[in-house]
Order: sequence, then structure tokens, then C-alpha cells
Amino acid sequence: MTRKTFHVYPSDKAWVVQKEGASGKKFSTQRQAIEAAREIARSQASGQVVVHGQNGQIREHATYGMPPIQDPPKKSSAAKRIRRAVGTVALKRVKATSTSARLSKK
Amino acid sequence: MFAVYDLGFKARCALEDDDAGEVRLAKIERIIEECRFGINDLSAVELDAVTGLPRFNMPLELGMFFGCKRFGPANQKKKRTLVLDREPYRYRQFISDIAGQDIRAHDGNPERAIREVRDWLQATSKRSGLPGGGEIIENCRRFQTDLPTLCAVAGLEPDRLTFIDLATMITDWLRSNR
Repeated sequence: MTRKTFHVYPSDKAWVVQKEGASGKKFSTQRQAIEAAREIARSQASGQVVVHGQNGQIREHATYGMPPIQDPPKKSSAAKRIRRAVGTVALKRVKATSTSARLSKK
Repeated sequence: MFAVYDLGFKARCALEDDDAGEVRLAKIERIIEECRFGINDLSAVELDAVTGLPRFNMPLELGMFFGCKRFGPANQKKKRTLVLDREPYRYRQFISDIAGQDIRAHDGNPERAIREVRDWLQATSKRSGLPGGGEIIENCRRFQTDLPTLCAVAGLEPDRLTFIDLATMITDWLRSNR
């Protein structure tokens, strides 16, 4: 099933917009990268944009044409750790699929 | 719980609050009052192996939900309930008075339960743009695969996650993996 999440993350003094299983596109500023990701997500039938911080942690999230995810009824005492873990694991996979896509093209 | 969040709704449960000062029944009353949609799974109504008596919390909560809708103020009249059970018509053997309500069977199959919940919530809420059952099931499988890794990175034990920790894990995962 096609992924609908566009990740925005910092990389080598630039910001990258990338979907899992696809190659990324670099932008010189975070603002430009977020705008580009929103534009792509809006142009699809449904999509979402997630912005990662330096440590992979999820900092922002927006949905387009799909239901926004509600917050849990209470804040977990481990919320920061969970957010960092989920963001880091998702980002690692996104970067790994990009590398494997490049390798398979060679 | 995963399907409810993937569909853009908020799952509530008496376990969401670890405030030991509030009586469990009061927590349930408050949550029922605050929710428009209720999903009651009666499949857990089995005889206790030790006492030989049934655990009847779920039917009790279902009755409270019906009562709130029937006798509550105008805003409570919009309440809607989905009743799930393992087998069709099994409820007739222990709670026959609810015949005529929206009762569906899932055969003890979590994927079928997800489809039932998804179809009911879409039809009842009339919201558009909800993901299909197959998409939710695939997301749920991927989440379950990721869960041990997520817990290890977050320093949590998968078997000891609280309701709120699990809800936080699900919502963050959905925001970055759909």
C-alpha cells in the first residue's frame, strides 16, 4: 500500500522532504521544505506531513484529505521518550529505504 | 483501539486515568457522559475458571450507556452504540433484552473486529475520507511489528504499557507512518 506520509528532516545543513520508499528532495531552509511537503500532500487525494527535529523527534504534524489523529485523553509521563522513539524509528526506515532504492538503481 | 485512532476518533477507557482517588464507576460514568459513540465488546463475557461466575463489567457498562442515552439530557440522545460479540446471537443466552440493537459478530478475529468498527463508525458518524478496513489492518500489522523496537528505544516494556502509553505510541506512530 502506498505511504501517505511526507517526512521533513534536517540533513547536512539542509532540509529534506521524503516519503518512505522514495528518494528525497533537498531544500536550503526548513520553511521551504515544509511548504514543499504541504504542497505535495495537498495535491494528492490524501496525505500527511510530519516535521522531525534534530534528534528525529516529531515536532509538527498536519493532514490533508485524511482524518487528523486525535491526541490521547491524557498526557503520558513517557510522552517525550515515546515521541522521540517513534520519530527516530520512522526516520531511520525512511532513510534506509532511500538508500536501498539508490542501490537497486545501480 | 488502533482502528479508533486511525479513523480519527479518540479511544477512551476507565484505565486512561490512574487517579486512585476516583471510584472506577465514577470514571466510567464520566467517560460515558462525554462520549457520543460507544463500542462494547461482549466477547469477554466468559465464566471465571475459579469462581464459575461470569465477569459482567462490559454488559453493566453497556446498560449504563443505554441508560444515559434514554434518561440523560437532550445532548445525550445522540449517543450511538455498537455491540460486538464473538458469535452471532450468543448474547441471547445471557442478555437477550438487547435484541434489536446494533449487534455484530467478529468470530474472535481482530481483523474482522476492525472492519466492523470501521464500517459502523463511518456509517454512524457520516464522516468522509476515512481509511478502508484493509488499510487499517495493514497499518495495525505494521505497528505491531514496530512495537517491540519502539518500546526498546523508549525504554518501556511492551507487556507493561499503560493505556495512555499505548495510546501515545499509536497516535505518534500513525502521525509518522500512514
